Amino acid sequence: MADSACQDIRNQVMYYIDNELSEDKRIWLLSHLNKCTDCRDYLCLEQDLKTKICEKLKDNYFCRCDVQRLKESIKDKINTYFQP
Amino acid sequence: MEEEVDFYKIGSKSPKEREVYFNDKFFPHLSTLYNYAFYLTKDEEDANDLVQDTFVKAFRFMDNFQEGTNEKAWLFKIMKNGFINDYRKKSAKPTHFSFDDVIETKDGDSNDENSSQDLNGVEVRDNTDHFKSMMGDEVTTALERLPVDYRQIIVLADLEDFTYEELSDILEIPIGTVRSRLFRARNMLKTKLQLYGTKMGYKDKRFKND
Repeated sequence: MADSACQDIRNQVMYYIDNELSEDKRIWLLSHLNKCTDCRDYLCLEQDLKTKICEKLKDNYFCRCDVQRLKESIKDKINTYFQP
Repeated sequence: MEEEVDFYKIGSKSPKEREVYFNDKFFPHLSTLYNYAFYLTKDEEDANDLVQDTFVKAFRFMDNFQEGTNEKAWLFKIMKNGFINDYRKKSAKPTHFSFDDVIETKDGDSNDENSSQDLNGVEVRDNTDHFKSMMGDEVTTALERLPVDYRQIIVLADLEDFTYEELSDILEIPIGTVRSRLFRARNMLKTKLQLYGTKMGYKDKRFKND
């Protein structure tokens, strides 16, 4: 079971992965990770999860579309609506 | 005297310059916007309509966009608002969103009985036990089961790689809410995956010695 210092770190790991930690907090977190194997493992798991989510999202949400055709439709609409 | 803004408004451009700007800065995001539209509507035709509406609105309100800011985030914001305000009202077809989803995700609510809160009132999972060894499509299924606001923020953060500041702008919520919502969304996802993993006999390999 993680102690409270580890729990504090783990509450911030996600923000570290997202590159949203301040420099001070980043240094504080890295210094803890340097000496805590459990938290390093935790970080790896969190990174794995994010990678996995990205892969799955790419598989499922990236739908091929005819960009050129879509662009032409948009231009037609814009011309219809906005040109005199 | 009022301070002059560094960037000039697009409204100062000639029609030709506007068209060029639109082509160069907005259209490159077309396929990304389409993917997001497809994610929102789950229907190719509806996604097409939503993308077209988004770009037409972007053209119409181009004067409100300030050059030097983020075109992609601006377009996503238009699409998100268009989907909420227009598309969902107009569409006769049900989407994978439900009204319950929206109600369910009011910030501060929690439907996870295994969670606690940290000092900031943010939901915290006991992370000593974990999801692991992600399996086929369980990630997708778990994502689909998340409330809409949580799904949406994960897609925008993890797939589109928006910063928290951009997410705050697109979703029109404070950065603190972006942080807490993402935190909750990912924890909820982990819980769902962990439950599945446990059911399937997967073990937490974090402490496994090589």
